Amino acid sequence: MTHPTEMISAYLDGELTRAEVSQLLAHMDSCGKCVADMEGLQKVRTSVRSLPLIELPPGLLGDAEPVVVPLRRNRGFWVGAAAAGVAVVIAVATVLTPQPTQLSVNDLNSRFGARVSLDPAFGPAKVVVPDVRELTE
Amino acid sequence: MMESVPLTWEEVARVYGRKIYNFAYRLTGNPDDAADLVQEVLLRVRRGLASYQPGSFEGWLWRITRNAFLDDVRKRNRRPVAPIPDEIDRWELASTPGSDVEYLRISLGDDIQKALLELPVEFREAVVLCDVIGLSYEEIAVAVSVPIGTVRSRIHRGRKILKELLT
Repeated sequence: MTHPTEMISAYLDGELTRAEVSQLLAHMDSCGKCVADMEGLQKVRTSVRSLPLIELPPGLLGDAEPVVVPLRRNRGFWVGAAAAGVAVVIAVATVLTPQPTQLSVNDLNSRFGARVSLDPAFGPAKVVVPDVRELTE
Repeated sequence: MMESVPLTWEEVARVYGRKIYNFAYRLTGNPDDAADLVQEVLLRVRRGLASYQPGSFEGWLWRITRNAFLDDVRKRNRRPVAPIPDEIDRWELASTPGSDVEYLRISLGDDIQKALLELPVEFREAVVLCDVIGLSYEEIAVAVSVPIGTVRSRIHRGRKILKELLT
């Protein structure tokens, strides 16, 4: 089995294309070695990123007082995590989308009710779901 | 990435000085070498700003920084960069207020810093630019003048070696 090992670090950094992410995740579904590699590399990545900030020695810049700016921009893993989150939301939404089958009024109300209760996870968008019971009366 | 260019080298020093110092410190593992490197970089920035063409300023800056580092390594006749001492001189540190806190902060990352210094230079700079400075692979590719695929490979191989060294 060929292991797409170099993709693992790039995945953690949010540097893979969508197609590459799919390829890697599909591979990891059946490869314990790559799952273990990812855990190890994630620990290393976190360790390096948690290195303490070293302050400038006094006077090094002469009269130019340093501006306090974040050392590292926020990116990388959380970009990937956000993308993965979006993928999960899309998958959940797909599963929850009503299928064209015969359902009772109670079934419909409970299904749409479930979607409305999930709305906060989708952000501030307003979804107005009419009471199916009113429509059918 | 198009960015507005700081007007003077003093602005570069103020905004990027701390980042350059941390990059230099993580590459050399030595505060004196890091300080020398910062001054050399700022000198080159001062000279280069006059002819700088607007574009990727950070790409340009990190390119100057890593070139200054590599020139320094070459100047040392390919000797390995000095490892950080096992024990920082606590007597010297004790003479400055708040030094215990600073000693603790630095020593917390000792194992990782030592492991970084074990990496080949090209892997070390790629990992530091990515994980300490936070550049994207594209920005690192510009700074180091290699294709993005090479950046990806260097970061991964660097982290794999670190994983072996730290376990």
